[in-house]
Amino acid sequence: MGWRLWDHTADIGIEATASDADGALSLAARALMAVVTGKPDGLPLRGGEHQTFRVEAPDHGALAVAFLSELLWLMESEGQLWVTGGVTITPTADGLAADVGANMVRYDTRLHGAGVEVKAVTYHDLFFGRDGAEWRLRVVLDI
Amino acid sequence: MSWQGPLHDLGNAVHEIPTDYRGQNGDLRMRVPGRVVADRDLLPHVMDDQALEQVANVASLPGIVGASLAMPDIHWGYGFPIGGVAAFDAEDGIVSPGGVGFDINCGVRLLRTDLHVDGIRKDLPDLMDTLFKAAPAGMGSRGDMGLRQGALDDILEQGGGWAEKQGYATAQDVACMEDGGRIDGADPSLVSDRARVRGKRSLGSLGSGNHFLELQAVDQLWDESAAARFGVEEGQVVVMIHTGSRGLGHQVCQDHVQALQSAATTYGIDLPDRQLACAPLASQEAADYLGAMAAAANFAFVNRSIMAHAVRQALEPLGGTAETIYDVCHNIAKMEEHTVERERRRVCVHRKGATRAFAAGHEGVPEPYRAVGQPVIVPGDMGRQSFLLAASPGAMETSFGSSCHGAGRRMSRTEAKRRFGGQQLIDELAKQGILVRATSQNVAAEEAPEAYKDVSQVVRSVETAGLARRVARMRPLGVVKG
Repeated sequence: MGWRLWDHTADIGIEATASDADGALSLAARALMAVVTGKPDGLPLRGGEHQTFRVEAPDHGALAVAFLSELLWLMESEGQLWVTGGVTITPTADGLAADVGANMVRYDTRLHGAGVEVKAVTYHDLFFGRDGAEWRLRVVLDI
Repeated sequence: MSWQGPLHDLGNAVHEIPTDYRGQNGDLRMRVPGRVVADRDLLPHVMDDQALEQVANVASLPGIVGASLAMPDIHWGYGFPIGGVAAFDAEDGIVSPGGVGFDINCGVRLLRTDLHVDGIRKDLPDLMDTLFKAAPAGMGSRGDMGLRQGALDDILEQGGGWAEKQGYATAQDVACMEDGGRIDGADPSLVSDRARVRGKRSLGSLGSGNHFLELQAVDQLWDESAAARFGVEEGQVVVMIHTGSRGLGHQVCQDHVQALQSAATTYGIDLPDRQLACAPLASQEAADYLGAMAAAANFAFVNRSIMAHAVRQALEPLGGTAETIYDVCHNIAKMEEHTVERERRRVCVHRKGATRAFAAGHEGVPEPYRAVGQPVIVPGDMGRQSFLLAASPGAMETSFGSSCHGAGRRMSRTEAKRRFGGQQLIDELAKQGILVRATSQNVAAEEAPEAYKDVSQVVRSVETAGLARRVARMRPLGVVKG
C-alpha cells in the first residue's frame, strides 16, 4: 500500500494502492502534491485550514479524475495545497460521490517547493478498482 | 516497454500498421491503416514507447478517412499520440477533445528581427534577463493583465484582431498567423466560469514544461528563394515563442472530455481509451466542443501576441524591431477540404502535436508566402538547433497538409532528472554561448537537449516523405524556460 509515480514520456503517471477506495484516493492526492511541489518523497507539511468539498461522477475512474481535477482547481484558483485529508465514497442516484475533508495550506513555492505545472488529469490508461485484496488507482497527468 | 506490433515499410520514410492489426488486447477494429513518417534511423525511437498503439486506436474511431497518421516526432500521449494527425468525414465522423489535447492551440510564433548575432553578443545577458522578467514563466505563472469588463469575451471571439486593436500585434503579425489569428465558430458563451477564471490569471504568461521563449541565430540556409520570402538570412537574430491557451484551454478540454464521456455511450461508440471520448460531428455535443475549442484557440493567439509584444519592448533599447514570420497551431481540430481517394471531401482534421503545412498555391497560405508554401516551424531543443521549413505538395497528398511540430521527447521527465543536473546543464550550455534563464533547476534538467530526439533526424524524415523542405537552420543563443 502506498503511492508511486511512473514514467509516461512527456507526462507523469500516478499509482496509489490502499485497502479501500477511499484510502487510494487520499494517497493519490499526496502523489499529485508531490508532482506539483517536486518532492517525490511527499510533503513535509503540517497544519492548514480544514476544508470540505464534494465531487460526483458516474463511475470510480471518472470520480478519481474529478477529485484530482478539483485539487488542481483549488490550487490554481485559490492557491490551496492539500496537506492531509480523508475521502468518503458513497453511491448516488447517478453514480458515486466523494465527500472530502482536507487540511489545506496556502501554496508558497519557496516554502513547499516547485515541481512541474500539471495541466490536467487525463482519462488515458485510467484504472480505479479492485486488484486482488487492494484497491488500485492508476492515472496519467498531462504536463 | 517498446511497441511490438506489425509495421510494413512503404518506402520514402513511411511505415504502415496494417488494418488487420487487432491491438494489444486482441479486440481492436481498425477502420483505416496507421501510417508513420519516420526513416529507419528514427524508427527505433518511435517504437520506444506505446505511441504506435495509440495510432492504431485512433484508426478505430468512426468516420476516419485515409489513415491514422503519425509525424516523426511522435511520442506517447494520452488518447491520441503526440505527433498524431487524423481526419474524420464531416457527415460520418467524430470530433474528439483527446485529438486536440488540453493545451488547445499550443503553438509557436517565429519572429524575424533586424538584428545580427554579432551585434547583440555583449548585450545578450542583459537582454535575457529582461526577457525573463517580461515573459512570466513557470508553474502557475500569471500575466495579471487587468482586463476590463467584457474584454475576455472579445479575446475569445476575435483572437488576433483583439490583439491588434489593443496594440499587442500589428496588421502584419495578424496576416501571418494561422487563419489570421482567429478560428471561425468561436462561441464565448460555451467557455465555463472556471475556464474564465483560469484564463484571466494566466493571460500573458509563458507557462511551464516544454514552453519556452528562445533567441536564435540563423546559421544555414538551404532554399534561398523561400528564405527571402520568409525574410531570413544567415546571422540574423530570430525569436521563437512556444506557448498556448494556458489554464483556459486546459479547463475547456477538461469540461468537454467529461461531457463527452457519456456521449460515446449515447451514440454507441466503442472507445479503446476513455481519453478518446468523442461525439459525431453532426451532434450538439460536437458543436459545443468546437465552439469552445475555437474560443480557447483565439485566446492562445492573443497570449502569443502578448509575448511577442514583450519581445519587441525588450529589443527596443538595442534598436531592434521584430515581425512575425508565422504563428502556427500545434493542437487543434478544424474543418478543411482535402482529397481522399481522388475525391474532394470536407473533413475535420485533428492535429495533436502536429502543425498545418499547406503547400504553395493554397489559399490558406498567407499571400507573401503563397508562391513557396507555408512556413513550418520546427523547434528542436535548447542545446542544438531548430529549423524553418516550407510545406511541400506531398503534405497535401499524404498528411492532410500536416507536418511535424518539433523534435519529440525520447526520454521521460523522471529519467532526464535522474541523468542531468539542472545547474550543471545550465553551466555547460553557458560555456557553449547559450544563456538559459529557468524558473527551476528541475525544469532545466527535464528539458535537457538529450531528452529529445535529434531534430535534424526528424526533419530528414519529413523531407524524405515529401511533407516539407528545409529552408533555414537556427542555433539557440538564449532560452527562457518555465
